Amino acid sequence: MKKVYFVRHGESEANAGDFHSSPPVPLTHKGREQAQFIAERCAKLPIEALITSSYVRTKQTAEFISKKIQIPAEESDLFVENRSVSTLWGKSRTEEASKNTMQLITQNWGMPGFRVGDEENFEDIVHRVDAALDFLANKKEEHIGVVTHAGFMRNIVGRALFRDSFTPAVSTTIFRSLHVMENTGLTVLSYDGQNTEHPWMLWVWNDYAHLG
Amino acid sequence: MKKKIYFVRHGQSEANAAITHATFTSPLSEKGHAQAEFIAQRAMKLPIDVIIASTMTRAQETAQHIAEKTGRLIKSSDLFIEGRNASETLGKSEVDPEMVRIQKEIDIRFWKNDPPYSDEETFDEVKSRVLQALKYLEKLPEENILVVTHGWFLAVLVSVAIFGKDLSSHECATFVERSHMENTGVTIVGYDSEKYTPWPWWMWVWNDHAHLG
Repeated sequence: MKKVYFVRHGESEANAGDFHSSPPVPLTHKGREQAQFIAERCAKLPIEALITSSYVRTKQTAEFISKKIQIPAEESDLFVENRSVSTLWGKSRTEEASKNTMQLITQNWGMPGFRVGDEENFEDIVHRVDAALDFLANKKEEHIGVVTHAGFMRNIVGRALFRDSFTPAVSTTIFRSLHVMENTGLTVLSYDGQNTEHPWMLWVWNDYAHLG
Repeated sequence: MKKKIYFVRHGQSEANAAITHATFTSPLSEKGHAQAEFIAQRAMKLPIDVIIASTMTRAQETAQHIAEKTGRLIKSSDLFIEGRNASETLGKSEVDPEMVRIQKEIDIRFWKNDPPYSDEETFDEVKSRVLQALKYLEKLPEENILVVTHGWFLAVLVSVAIFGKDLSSHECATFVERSHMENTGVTIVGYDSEKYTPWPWWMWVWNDHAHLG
């Protein structure tokens, strides 16, 4: 049975400053410390391959892990964060205009073809999550580490478990009820190709025991 | 009001070790006691005000280890016992072909919310017990609560926490059948009546078992 260890990146400057993140936002000092903690923990896991989202905060986190476990990190765009509309990048989350844009997206979530701008909508995300799950299922290694993002993790876990029943409503529920993923929180999915009914199972969500 | 509920599944029982359907009084195995000691040490670092334990022997024994280490009182409650299986299955092998057949029949009826095979709890009954259990936790004066309970019941409870009181048996089946829970795994459910209305519950952590190494 295959196991995939998903790690959220350490605290980024956008997390600390509560603004809408973008691909080049780096880790804070605290985020680098957290990355060191999760790297120590990863040394105890049987990871044979390491994948990282191509964003700066995940690549920086993966570097700590890679150095510790002596496995190079393979970059992949499949595991980047759900792309938010780029006009929001760098804007405060509490700003009225950003809140209105976010509300518009939420209200129309799952409506086919709807986009405010250049963001990924529900269909785009399902499409990418399926490609990411196939990529992991087909990888020859049994134990795979993936450094990725909180929003994307909710979607990959939701789709892995719910398959065709992963509707916009289910995705909204999971977004609400699993809204906290700690920086460097660990989430584990297993994959059993023999099990045609439900090959993916949730083992762990947001274990952050390494943070003390 | 905000609360954090630290749910802990009991340590390995003798029934778990023998792969049999556990009875009410099935005790912890030696390994189960060792696991209970690990989680008890870990619980010393958690901000726990009170311990609630299912009245089943394996949960009571696990809670004893935690109470000794943390110095917190145990309150026992029937609300957190394991889902009641048909009495025909109790103490029997889970892998015996006849038992597998009966369990399959029970499961089909359970998820379709059909009349029960025998005297087992139905989906509506378990869901209603979960809602009572959540109400009980909501009304406790303590904000940080550790609950020693059971794997299957906990999966149903977390499904309700995620999907709310209108949880369908299909949504519940998806989560229960596609999630895994270790003995002494820690699952944290949050409660926030200001941020989340009308449904205040959400899932923070599922099956953290870092203490098992």
